Amino acid sequence: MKRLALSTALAALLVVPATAQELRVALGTHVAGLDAQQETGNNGAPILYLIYDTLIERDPYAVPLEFRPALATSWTQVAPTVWELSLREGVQFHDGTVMDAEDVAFSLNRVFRNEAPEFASAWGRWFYNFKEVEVTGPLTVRIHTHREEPLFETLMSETSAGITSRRHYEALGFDAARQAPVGTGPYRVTQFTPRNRAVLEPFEGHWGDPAPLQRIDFQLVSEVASRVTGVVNNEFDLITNIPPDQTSALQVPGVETLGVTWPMFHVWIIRMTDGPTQDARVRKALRLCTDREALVQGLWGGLGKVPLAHQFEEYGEPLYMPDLALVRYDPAEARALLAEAGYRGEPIIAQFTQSYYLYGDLAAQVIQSQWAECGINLQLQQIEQYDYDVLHIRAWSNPMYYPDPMGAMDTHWSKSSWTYTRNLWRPTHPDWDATYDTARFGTDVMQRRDAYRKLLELAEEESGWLLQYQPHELYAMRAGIGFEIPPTLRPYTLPLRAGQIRMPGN
Amino acid sequence: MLQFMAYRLLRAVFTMFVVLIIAFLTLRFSGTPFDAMFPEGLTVEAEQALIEHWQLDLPLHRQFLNYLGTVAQGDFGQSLFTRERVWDMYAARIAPTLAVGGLALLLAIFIGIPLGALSALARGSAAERVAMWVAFLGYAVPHFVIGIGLILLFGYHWRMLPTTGLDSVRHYILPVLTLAIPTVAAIARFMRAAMIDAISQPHVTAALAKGLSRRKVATDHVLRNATVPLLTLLGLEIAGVVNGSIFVEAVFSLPGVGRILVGAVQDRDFPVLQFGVLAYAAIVVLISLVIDLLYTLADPRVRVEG
Repeated sequence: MKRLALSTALAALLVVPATAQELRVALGTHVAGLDAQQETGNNGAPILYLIYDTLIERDPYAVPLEFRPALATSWTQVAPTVWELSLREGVQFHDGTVMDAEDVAFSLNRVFRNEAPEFASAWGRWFYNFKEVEVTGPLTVRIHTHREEPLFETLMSETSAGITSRRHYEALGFDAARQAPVGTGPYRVTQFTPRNRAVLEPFEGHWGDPAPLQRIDFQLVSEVASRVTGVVNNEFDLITNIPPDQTSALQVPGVETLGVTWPMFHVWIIRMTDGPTQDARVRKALRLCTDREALVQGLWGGLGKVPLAHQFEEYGEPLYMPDLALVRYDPAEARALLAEAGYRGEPIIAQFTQSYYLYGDLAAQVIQSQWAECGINLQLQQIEQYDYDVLHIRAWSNPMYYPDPMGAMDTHWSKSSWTYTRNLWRPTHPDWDATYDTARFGTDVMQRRDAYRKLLELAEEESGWLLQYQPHELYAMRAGIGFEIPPTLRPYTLPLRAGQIRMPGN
Repeated sequence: MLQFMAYRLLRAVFTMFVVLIIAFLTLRFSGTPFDAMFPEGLTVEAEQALIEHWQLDLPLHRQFLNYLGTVAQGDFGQSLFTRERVWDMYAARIAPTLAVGGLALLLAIFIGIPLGALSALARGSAAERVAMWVAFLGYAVPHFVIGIGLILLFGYHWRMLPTTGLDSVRHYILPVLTLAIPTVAAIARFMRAAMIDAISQPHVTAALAKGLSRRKVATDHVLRNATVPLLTLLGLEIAGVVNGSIFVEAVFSLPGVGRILVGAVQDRDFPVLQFGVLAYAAIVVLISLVIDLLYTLADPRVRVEG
């Protein structure tokens, strides 16, 4: 036994450890490019936050939200739809050039004007109410919105509002520039192979607190087993996207785990415009017949979270409403509603592409059997490409992009969302539009909160969504590495800036 | 000889053209890449803009002719996802694939041929039965199962060897082994059968009757004759190693072209996948050509019959 222990210890030494302040990170998915405005997916979140700064910055850990100056030193609302911002002087980009108002206008106007498909995702999710950036001086800009924007600071502190260099893009062209990103953040990219590897090193000219790590190496390791082995074998210091069923495999000396229940719902979109699900009573019955507690216990080992309404604790007071409990499980009421609607077992078709959502295909099979007990005929189709003329249901997720009710609602269920243009989501209640408008654009926070409450109550009667659960994932890391999940930043952001990460020995 | 090679070359070009058509049509009929590009959804307007940008709204024959036109100019297009030039993508990542594949093949040859030959010479012994049983197992188990097994043993349990990337010499051990094991097994099994066949030939009996030593008969008469059909197998095994690299690169997170191909399949990245299929087909066709040539040199009867 002693010999075995000794040989194992010697063998472990053979695997080269990282230097003291280097962090080797294994990611489950990797990003295709590093343009702050184009990459809106979860796979870019860990990296983009480290290389780009925004005009206004959120305190990552303050609930409710608090803002602080970043590339802008001050901002004032000079008219209902006009904000004036003074830019920080002498801010350097990673290529050594100095940021000015033209860079801010270049970075943001390409999204605000919604002229290129590359930026359509960011526009629809965050910036559809923004009109343009007007350059008023070398270090002053005015940002114009279509309507008065109550979420101005919140949206301008999204990583997707990160500032890049106009001259860099003009010199290299878009395709090359997004592979060689230039921001003003604490880390600069020294090596990037799309969807494979990104190496970041400290940017000495950063205007703020210096980067705490000497090198961060983000590598794609798509197999879960390989990521788990990688951290146990000391090939990686940190691994991401680990499903909870790997917990026991990670219970080894020298490895620690951090579980996180994301502010994100796995949802099903229910078509509101055609087929059996066109009837609001059928849609409500589908929700009432879904036993989410069974899903969370059975699939997530009790580690996921059963939603009570489309809201997250991360909003903080006063926008989070802890008393709101709208999501129910009541098969008897579901059967009654189905009978009232005259539903006779017509097929309801749910389509799924490859396993994009963790445990999504398992959840579908469980729900199929739950619904069968209510007399609902759910047909599951594994397909290569969604057929929106056929499907009644497709899987989706609703992450909280920013800590506000609109951070998960407006980014997914507004009229600029693809669910609306695809004719899946069409709320019909006469109060819906006016209530939504107040919840989105109301200038009084309590008024917005009350409108949101009403919106959720209306939604429970007729909405085309089915909330399943909040998923739970693990990070695993070498002992001594520590960080806290920042509640005000979007899921999967890695907090590796100054003061956010603790490494062994410091 | 020239006529024979010209015929083979013409056949190779025709094969490549058929592969190109099949790859092009299969991809176009399998749907668009936009669900993979935007798994969280995409507005109808944005999808239409992308379709127009990549000219996927043109009639199929126009798309194909456009593609042929650009390929004829040596331009294989750019990735729909990363916007890299396809040629540059593959060129930048071919080295790890060649290194791991080449080492695996060498290892397989150096172990497989002696193992098969010795098994044939020691036919009926316990050692031969064990060797062939192990070879059968190696042949039957897929690359990704072997790979995951080695990762769990040498990486997770014993923590002896690195399991991802190719940053040092030690990083090559597990992927090369994974790729080599089924090839060793195939070569050993084939070599054994070829040797047994050669042993039963009348000229071997004649050589023994003339009083030549068993060692000399084995090396000069049996081994030499058994090696000729092995050429065909080696050609196939090189193609097998090329295919295996796709799985091995995924399991060990190697930055090679196999991984590009896996990603392109998942994403339906048309230009990347079309070039990948074409390149892999070209490798197999080229190997067949070389094997044909070697065969004609080793056995003139082939040339005459061809």
